[in-house]
Amino acid sequence: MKKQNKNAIRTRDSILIVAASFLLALLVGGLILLLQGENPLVAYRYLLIDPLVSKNGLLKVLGKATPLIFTGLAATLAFRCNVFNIGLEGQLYAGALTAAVLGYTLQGLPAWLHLSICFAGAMITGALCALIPAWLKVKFGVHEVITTIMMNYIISNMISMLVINYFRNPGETARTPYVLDTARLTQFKAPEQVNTGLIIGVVLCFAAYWVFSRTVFGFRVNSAGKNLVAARYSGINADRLIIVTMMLSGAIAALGGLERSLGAFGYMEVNFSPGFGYDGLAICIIARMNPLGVLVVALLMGLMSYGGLNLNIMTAVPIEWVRVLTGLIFAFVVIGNTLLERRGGVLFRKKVLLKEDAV
Amino acid sequence: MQGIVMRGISKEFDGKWALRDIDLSVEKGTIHAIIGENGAGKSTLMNILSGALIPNTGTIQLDGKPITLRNPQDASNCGIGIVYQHFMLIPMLKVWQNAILGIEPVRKNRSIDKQAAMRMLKKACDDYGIALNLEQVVGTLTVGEQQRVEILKVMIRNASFIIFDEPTSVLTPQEIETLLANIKTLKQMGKTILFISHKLEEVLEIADRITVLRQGNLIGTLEREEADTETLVSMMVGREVNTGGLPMKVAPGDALLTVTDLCTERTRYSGGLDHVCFTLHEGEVLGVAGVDGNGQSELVEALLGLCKATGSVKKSGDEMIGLSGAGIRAKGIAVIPPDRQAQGLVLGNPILNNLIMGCENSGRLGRHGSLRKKSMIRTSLDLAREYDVRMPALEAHASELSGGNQQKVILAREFGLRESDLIIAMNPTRGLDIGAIEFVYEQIEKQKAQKKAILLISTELSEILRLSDRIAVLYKGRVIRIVDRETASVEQLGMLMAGVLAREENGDEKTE
Repeated sequence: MKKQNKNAIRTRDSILIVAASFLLALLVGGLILLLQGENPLVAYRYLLIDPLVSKNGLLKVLGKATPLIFTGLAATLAFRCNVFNIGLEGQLYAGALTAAVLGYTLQGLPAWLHLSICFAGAMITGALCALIPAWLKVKFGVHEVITTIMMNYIISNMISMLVINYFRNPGETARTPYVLDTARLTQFKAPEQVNTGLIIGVVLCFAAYWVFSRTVFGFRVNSAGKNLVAARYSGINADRLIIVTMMLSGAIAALGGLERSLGAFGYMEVNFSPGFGYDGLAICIIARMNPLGVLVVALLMGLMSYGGLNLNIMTAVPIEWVRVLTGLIFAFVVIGNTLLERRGGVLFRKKVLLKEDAV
Repeated sequence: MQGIVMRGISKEFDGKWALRDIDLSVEKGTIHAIIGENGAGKSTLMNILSGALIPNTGTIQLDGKPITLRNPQDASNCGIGIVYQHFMLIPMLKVWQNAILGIEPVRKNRSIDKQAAMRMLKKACDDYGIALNLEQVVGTLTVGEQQRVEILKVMIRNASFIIFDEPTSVLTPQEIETLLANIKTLKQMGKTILFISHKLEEVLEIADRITVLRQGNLIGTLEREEADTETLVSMMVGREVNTGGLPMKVAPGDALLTVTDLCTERTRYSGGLDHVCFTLHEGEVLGVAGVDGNGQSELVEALLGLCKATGSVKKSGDEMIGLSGAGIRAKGIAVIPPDRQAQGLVLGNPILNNLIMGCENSGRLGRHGSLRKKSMIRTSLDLAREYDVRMPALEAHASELSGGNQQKVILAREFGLRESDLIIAMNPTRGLDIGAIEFVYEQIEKQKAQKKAILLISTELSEILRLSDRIAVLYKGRVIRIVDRETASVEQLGMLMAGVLAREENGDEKTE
């Protein structure tokens, strides 16, 4: 058998599928625009190129992408273990509120300590929010999709209630007071939203990539995620693994909320998230559960998010069209994944010669 | 010609011929057996006849007319019925409800006409000599009775051509006799039977003609009179093999594993384990024989801490009940699980991952929870070489391996990498060809020679007899007798497996 690096082929095919899905989506999206009497080329210039040529636009794109990196990565951690953490949105809110409250109430602390406390607080809250469905799954076999969705309603409404009744800044819209300077993540260029949270997100993606490919923990998650029974039979404590990955997933989603509270805004506002948690699920699927892929796809989503606003201002194309485009990319990637699975993970197989002595 | 004629049937999967240029004629009103080892193409052939698979080439004629079978409905319409190896029954419904599912007789108001259904079913039962209580819930039936429900289903759909797919693999010897009698009745009623099996005695007992398949090729068709065991075996395997033989002699050492009063919970469809007791010594193979479904999986899962169990399991004096699955495995137990694809391997992961799974934290592959790529590759390559795993590449997925090589991956991991002094193997050769089976036996005896204690749980009696020093018989969740290999006979074990001796002895005890 000829030696060929199968891993390289798999990586190539994964990238190929995502790229092809993106191009196909642009094609179909362009057709929709044509039917509306718009020029797709002009639209795509405003959507995809315009934001990238100015420094201001670039910063806006990065700012939009930052929370998506966190939620996309959080989804990936849980999905790798075959646990569908739909509760990212609630965990994100929990992290955002904890960080904001710790950020404006604790006074007189040095910045490093104050930030550490905020980080720890947010991550613990997010992890605890994820622990409840994980525990219910392991202990009673309750499916996590149902519990995490229910948790989303419980947590986000409870947090709105907490902000409005206890942590509200008097006289303003329903939001907390500004956090103290000692708890702020440094913004690169105020008033843009880009801050050190972006760097933390990027580092976490690389760290997760390393964990999945080079550690015992990652190895076990990769095994249990694809065949829980076989993992159990080989002596891996699968229940503990499910709980740990869920808690890590919740903690990282919470960091996405912390980034908004301490970095982008400086406060926590009720209903600040346009669905970062849910977008994270889509990003994870499009990135095919690869942490580095999450980084790329989150940046792409950031571009489309800001480009969409740009497009809306400059042309008559409605903002909903951008959501359609995202949906198309998602659909094509899912189709591509199925295709890839049917072919055993390799897109282009050389025609195998039928041998007499095939065993 | 009356009956079914297949000409030039070929079927290809992923560049491999599952069937190659098969010509087969099944004469009307006869019992035609198809035999071959696992993987010879029997199931593929049956799936083509049932419409579940479409052949790449070839034609099928039914009573002289060419037919095309695109789906199972086509086959059913042509009068082809199948009694599957794995029953397609709904356990909580009654026998008559299961039987009429899909062809329910209805009254004018679209409600089910139970009287008509019962009339139809009773007539079919009488005609074909099928003994069943139509009002019983299927989940409470024995395996043999469930199979009769399957036969009944086929009969009321007016099948004239019936395929039995490995029908005896789940039955006790006594149930087999009933089944074979039923099949003979069907033949007398003018039905045509295709009987797929790998058990020669049964085939020789009932078949009129016998076709042998080997690795997708048709080796030959014999009339019953020309066939005997030796000819058929040499046709099936292509070379002379000795599946008999006796276990290797190793002087047994101290007791390593002591199991006392091990019980598991009863579930709706399984009785669970009932006070199982046995002792296993170093350098000894204890075979656990029994018909499938008498507590074998429960025993494996209870010993491995994968299900709730009570009683006591002591390994070298340490109690293992109450420990987690991971904790138990850390005590040095190697496992060959019953279903290598579902329980032994992660098919969607590379072969490399599968070779080290469960031992990833052993210290050979890295330190402080990290893994070194070089060590992983070196270790897994060494293992693959030592256990002769034929693979396209280490990065290839385990799903790309043949069954024999998949099993070798598991052997390599459990015997070559894991530190153990106790081996639990369940059906370690299921679905393998003769060559691979011999390899597995060799490896198990190698471990035995190293004074390891081996618990071999198998539904293949020949395997138990080949490897075990002592044989425990599991019946309805109880170990009803432990016999020495030297004094054991097939007849005695068969009676024990069927629960006959146990019942007699219980009776004796009462009279005493």
